[in-house]
Amino acid sequence: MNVLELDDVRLGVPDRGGDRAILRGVSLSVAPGEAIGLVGESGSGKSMTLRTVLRTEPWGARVTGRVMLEGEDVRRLGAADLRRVRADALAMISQDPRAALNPLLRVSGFLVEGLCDARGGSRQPAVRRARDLLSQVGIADVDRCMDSYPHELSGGMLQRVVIAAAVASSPRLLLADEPTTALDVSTQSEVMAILDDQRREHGMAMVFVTHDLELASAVCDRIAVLYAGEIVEIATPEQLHSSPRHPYTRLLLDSRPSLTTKAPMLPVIPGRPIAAYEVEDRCAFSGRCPWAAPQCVDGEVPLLHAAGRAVRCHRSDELAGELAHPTATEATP
Amino acid sequence: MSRFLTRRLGALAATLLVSSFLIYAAMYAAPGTPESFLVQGRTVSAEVLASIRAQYGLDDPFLLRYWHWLIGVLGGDLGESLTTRQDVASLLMSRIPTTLWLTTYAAVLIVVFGVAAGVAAGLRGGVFDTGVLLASSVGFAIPTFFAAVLLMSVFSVTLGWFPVFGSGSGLPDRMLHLTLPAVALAVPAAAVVARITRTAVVEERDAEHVSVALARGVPWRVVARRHIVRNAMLPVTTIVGVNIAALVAGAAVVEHAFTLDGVGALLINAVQQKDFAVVQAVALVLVAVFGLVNLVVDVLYAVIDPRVQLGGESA
Amino acid sequence: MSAETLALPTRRRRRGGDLANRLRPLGVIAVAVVMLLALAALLAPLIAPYDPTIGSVVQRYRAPGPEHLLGTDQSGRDLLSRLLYGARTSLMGAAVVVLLAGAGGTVLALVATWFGGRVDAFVGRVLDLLFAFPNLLLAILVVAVFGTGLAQATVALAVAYVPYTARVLRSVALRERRLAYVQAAELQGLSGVVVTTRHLLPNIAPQILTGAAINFGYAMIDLAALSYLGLGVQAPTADWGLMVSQGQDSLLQGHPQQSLLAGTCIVVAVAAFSVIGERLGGRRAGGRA
Repeated sequence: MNVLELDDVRLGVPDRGGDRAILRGVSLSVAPGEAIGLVGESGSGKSMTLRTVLRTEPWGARVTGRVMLEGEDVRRLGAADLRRVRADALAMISQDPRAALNPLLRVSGFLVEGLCDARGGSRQPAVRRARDLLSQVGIADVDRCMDSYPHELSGGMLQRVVIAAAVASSPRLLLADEPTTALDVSTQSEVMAILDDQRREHGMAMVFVTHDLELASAVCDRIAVLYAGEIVEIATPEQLHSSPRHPYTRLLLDSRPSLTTKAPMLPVIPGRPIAAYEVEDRCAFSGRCPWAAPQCVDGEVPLLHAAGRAVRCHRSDELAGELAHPTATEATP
Repeated sequence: MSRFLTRRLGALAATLLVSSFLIYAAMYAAPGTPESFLVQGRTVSAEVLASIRAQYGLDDPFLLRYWHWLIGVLGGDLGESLTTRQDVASLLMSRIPTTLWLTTYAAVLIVVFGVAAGVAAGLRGGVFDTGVLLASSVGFAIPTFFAAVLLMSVFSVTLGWFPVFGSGSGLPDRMLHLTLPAVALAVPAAAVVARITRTAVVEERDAEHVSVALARGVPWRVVARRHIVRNAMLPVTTIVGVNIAALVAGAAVVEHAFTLDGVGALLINAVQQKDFAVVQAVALVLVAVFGLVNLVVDVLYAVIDPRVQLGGESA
Repeated sequence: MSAETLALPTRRRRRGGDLANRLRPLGVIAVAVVMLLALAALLAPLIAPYDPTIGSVVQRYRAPGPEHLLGTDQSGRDLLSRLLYGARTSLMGAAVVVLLAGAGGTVLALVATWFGGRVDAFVGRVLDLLFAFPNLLLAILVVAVFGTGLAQATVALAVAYVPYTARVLRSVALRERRLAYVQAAELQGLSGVVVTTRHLLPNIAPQILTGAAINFGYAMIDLAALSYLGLGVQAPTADWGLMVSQGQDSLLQGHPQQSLLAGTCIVVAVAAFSVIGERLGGRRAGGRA
């Protein structure tokens, strides 16, 4: 059984004269222990997808579709069951650890709270476990860290604390929302390594949200590319890099700076990213796609699964060769 | 902590010194001469006037008179009332209990009702929230003296539940006498506190650490207490402190309304009778108490918020 | 992330919107009330049925009726006329307080901001000293020095309000002054007066306005309180605060109209101004967010 199964999840927030769509039918499955990356631009709906799993979507938002967590539909859980699932099966690591921790609570309070108040454990073992976890995430002075308030610790330290707290309940699924974006560049890779390490050690599945395709490729088994509130392509990192099937993925790959070659100018994707609610009855990317054909603006495009990967493009087969070509920048000696 | 306290107390002492000079100078500059009060409009001979002036040191230079007054104040001698010849210090001492009881009573009402209403409105929302908002809008607009008159009209005159005037003796009787005045004094402040508390709770409720705690499966009760209400108490402490400190002067109006023999009523009477000896002494005492209350609030704030460091330059 | 938060009506904003919607009619009502009161004050001599200061003992404590729409007070004076005239002193007094305090606060804030350094420090010290006095005490002391009366009480309150106004405006002006366009104007060699009046002043104007609207309510209450204490407007002039005070004895004898009517006028006026102040403040905050 999959740890997580999203089935046609749609999310809209009420707006003048109707709902404003944010997610337009996201379907995704995560196997036990698997790490899957959600990659896309700002506003493509990656974070919102996570929030539908945690049920922390914005107030008043309307969600349809099923979110199956270990066979239970999270969207239909009552308050008590939701709390149980949140405490046991799920853990979330958010972007900014400074905002995630109560500034008036010591680190020990934060860690113990997740073990005692959320899971009904008793205090003494919880404190012992909290100290264990802190040393596991590479914190040298556990005593000092336990007694510290968030403002006394660096962002990197705080994110380690958050990782320790996430791991504490041995959840089956870890939801990570750009966990290193708010950190100093120097500590990013360190924190990422700790996260990856802990995940593997505890055998947790992970949904990893990022806009950084490279980072996702390094830590994930599969990557889902989002555009305007829907998934346009799912594949392994290797497949994505060697043979992208969706034009958007291809252009995303092109617009990365390369370390090996010096580009006179980075190619950018023409046009502006459109929001989910702006999409009309056509391929969401058609307005910016250099390969757009008349059929692309005629109705919505389904996500087609084939050979372990999925793509949402009418022309993916005929363009396969062209999209797989090395890019201009990489071809330049 | 002790360094902070020493520094703040030092600053307060300096402020009081400058204030005492300002107050004294203002009273000195006020039109009308003290001896005209002493003779009470009687026609007296030049010799008598001169002897009065000599007795009260009215011919001394201003700075010297201020100096004498200041030395006296530091030694606990606040001077003598120009109208009643009473010792101002003992006059004040006899008035302090009433004001102290009244303001403490009002402060408790402000904290209990203002904060409770604000927390409940912020956490529960809905009709209750709207009700608290409207009530606080109206409550804020009710001047204390009108609240006093209203309460008197309803609970003393019509229902006869509470005495109209006086401050009573003995604790139960005192509480009975001071209930309406304390409520009148507390109404506008409690309204402001309720509104600020509500805003703080709503804002805190939307904080990311709250949704993180909930997403970790921490029960709502615990989150509400530990993450929402506790954090919301930071701004609330400030606003409660400001409002309680303001009671120091606001009590005068209510004491006047209920003819309570408090310090504020003493001040008002002294101003009306131009008894500057009493005015300057009472003013100085009120400034001192005002400063102390503010200091206590700052310390309290630092105790609640670990981010505030008392040792260095506090933000 | 920013695009996402912009696109989403977040919980807070949505709740704020809800609240604003719930209270929107109140804003309209508040403006209407203020206009009505201003009209009453302006037209008092034309529409008041009687002279507010003349009555006859024979007419005292008349119940509301066709002759005296709201009845009469302990001296047989027409209450409606007194309320209408009372609007003049109450509103005018508060308006003058707000104007004086606003002007004083603005000048202090701009001077402190522009000259900075020692001048700023000195202004700060003076304000700190004034902050050591409770508002009402400061006003009472000024009255003690200059004597009782509407003019004295008005000045007294203006003095008491200056520190708050100045402190708020100073922080806003300081933030504005640090912005690039003001720095640029300064570098172009424009004189301090020109930069201050042409760039700083217009940009702190919204805060001045909001502060004025909020202060107006406080000024009405404090001014009425001073009159109630016998330190402000003196009898027989009609004033709402004084009327509450004068009506207190009658109230104890079972004639509550005067105190209740005058007090209600104060409550309604203050509530209206505070709603308007909140709106102005809210809109500004919304615009800045």
